[in-house]
Amino acid sequence: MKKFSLVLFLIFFLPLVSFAANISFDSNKDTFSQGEEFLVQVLLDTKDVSVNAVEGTITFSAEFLELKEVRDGNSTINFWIEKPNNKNGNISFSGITTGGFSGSKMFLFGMVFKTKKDGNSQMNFNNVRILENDGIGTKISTKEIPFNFSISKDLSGNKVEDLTLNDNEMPEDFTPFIGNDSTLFGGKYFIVFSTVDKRSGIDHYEVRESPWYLFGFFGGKYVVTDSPYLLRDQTLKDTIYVKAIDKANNERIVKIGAQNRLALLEQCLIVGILLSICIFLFKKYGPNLLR
Amino acid sequence: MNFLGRKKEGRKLSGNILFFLIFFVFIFGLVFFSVVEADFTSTNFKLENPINIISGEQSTSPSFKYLSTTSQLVQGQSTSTNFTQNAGFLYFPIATSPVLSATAGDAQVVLNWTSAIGILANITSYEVGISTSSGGTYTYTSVGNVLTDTKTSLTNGTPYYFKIRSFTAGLLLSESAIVSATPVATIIPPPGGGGGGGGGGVPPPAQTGVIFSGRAYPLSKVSFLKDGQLALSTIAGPDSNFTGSLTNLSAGNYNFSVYGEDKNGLRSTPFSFQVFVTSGATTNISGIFIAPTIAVDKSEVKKGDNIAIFGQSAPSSEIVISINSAQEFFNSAASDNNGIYLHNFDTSVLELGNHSTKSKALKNGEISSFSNIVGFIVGTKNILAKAPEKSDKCDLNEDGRCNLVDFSIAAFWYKKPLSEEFKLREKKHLNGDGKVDLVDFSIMAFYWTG
Repeated sequence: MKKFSLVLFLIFFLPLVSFAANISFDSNKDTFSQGEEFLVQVLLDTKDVSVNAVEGTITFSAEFLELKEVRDGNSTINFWIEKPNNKNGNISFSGITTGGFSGSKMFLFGMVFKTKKDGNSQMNFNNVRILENDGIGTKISTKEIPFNFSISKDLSGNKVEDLTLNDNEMPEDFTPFIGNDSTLFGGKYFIVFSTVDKRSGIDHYEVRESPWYLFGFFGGKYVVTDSPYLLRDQTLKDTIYVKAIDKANNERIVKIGAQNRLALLEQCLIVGILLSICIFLFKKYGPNLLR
Repeated sequence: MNFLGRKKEGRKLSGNILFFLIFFVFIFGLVFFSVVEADFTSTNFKLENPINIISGEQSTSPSFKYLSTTSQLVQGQSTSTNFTQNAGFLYFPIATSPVLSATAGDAQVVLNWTSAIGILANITSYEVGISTSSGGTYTYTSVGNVLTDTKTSLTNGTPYYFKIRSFTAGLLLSESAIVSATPVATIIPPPGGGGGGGGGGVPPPAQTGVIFSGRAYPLSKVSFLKDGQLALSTIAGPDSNFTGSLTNLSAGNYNFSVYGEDKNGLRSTPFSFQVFVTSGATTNISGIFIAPTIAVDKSEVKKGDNIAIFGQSAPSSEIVISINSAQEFFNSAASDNNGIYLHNFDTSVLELGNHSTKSKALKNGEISSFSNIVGFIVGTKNILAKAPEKSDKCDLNEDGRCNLVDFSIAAFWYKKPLSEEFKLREKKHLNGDGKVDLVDFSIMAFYWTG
């Protein structure tokens, strides 16, 4: 009778215990040798629910593994609030995808590990939050699936494919925005930018402010920075160049012309003065030079 | 008992019978006239009394079929955590049209489509149709409940036409627009070295890109976002149709969103989809049907008065308007040649309190997704709504847009104590809980304009 009741319970109640999303690790194998490199991808199955925000932490044992690289090229996430990064064996991440996404194997990012010593270990998710694309950020229940693996005593020099070798494409085109807000940088002007690289991923950004009096072509040094970047020229007369560089050193440069129209007038004035000087000099010395 | 007594008793009995007869006729009439809603006719049949068929099955003749159903006494929807019953006469499930993308390859075409969203139904399977002429006969193959399929063994250089049909338990619910793709042979560049010769040569490789097409509102601005960045804007034609293309893309996964702005500047809900773009190939994405815009004329309406629900969609479309209440009401309106629609809804059937409405459009067998949701109150007085405005959600710097600048401002305050000034803005533009966390970013992602 007890068994019958249990079966009835399972039949009627188990289908109700369903998870709206699964977050899991994906690797082509789960047994490795010592010194071997392997790639683990973080995948999300949204179970047909449109989601737009994801955050969580991945834990692994630093005794067994060394994190070599995080790969976010071709990620489903459009904008990272916290790019996946390693802090003492914890990889925290949070990001959004505008307009939402749904699917069964949505790639969030990949991690390249190198094994250190033999034994059995596990990789886990913690504090995962997946939010629905509904305008109010409803949390959906999520099943976190760990990754169990073992490392043998054998030695191996296997390496993961280097994505930078076959990446000869620039990062995607993008549009930086200049903004100011009383709650940020004390109301001073700043520039924001973001792009993606579909293959090796973005490595870093650089910004150059070319002075208006040099016509926005010359002068100014590229500075390695992140978005948002506080502009040196608060008059907005300078021309700004933002360079996105991927991990294979392919770069895309985007130019933002002077926002302050006075710069154009002043440039015209300089050109006018230079022309006047030239005409004056030509009139004075030109005939002699032509002789 | 004497004769007089029997006669008196007989009269009393007759009176009782007469009373019961009148009562029976009255009750029967009441039930009959209250339940029989209408006679249904066509050139082939006339159904005079739907309630005569109460077996919960169907009645047929060679020229018609009538389905009956079990029901409860009140027309509308009853729900619990475990079931939903739609009472009254039959409710018909519908689904949004899948948006289909086709990428041609060498003797093959890769098809991807968006989920059809069922209303009163869950989609259980899809069929892929293929034809060599747009208006020709399509051969359908069931592919199960998946969102991708690859057609192989095709002839290079021949244009193929595809469409997707969605089903619930074998019942056809919606169809995508037709998308064409022409498979092309892979060009293998000649080996290096050598020289001489002339003429001919290898044609340049095809550009990696995406072509979009669909319908929005007549002469409306249509914006395309690529991975959250505004990549292209275009103007729809007077027939509301639009096309747009993005080139010089890299191979990989892209998240595209498309939204329209109506004549009042109101933005539609964005239509978002993921596409894998193949190197050296152009992906055609057709049948994007932008959801209607929607607004109401009163923020509070006196119970029993009408509330006007209006907006813009494709011209000459059928607009299905849902009014959410304890039970959901579905009404329909038609859009005019400019795509404008208006529906006056009698609020006497609504209870006092908060309600909301949304709409979707149907045209030529294609069905859009639902519009934004607009709220209103049924109360004791009429209060006119403000002129329709763009949403100020997410717009932290109040420039009329939700983009990377707002994202950066929010990211600055992420998991930090907020200043008094920013607390006010967080309350106005985000969820107002006095902190910036993932929920606020989710709100931003929903209202994103690029």
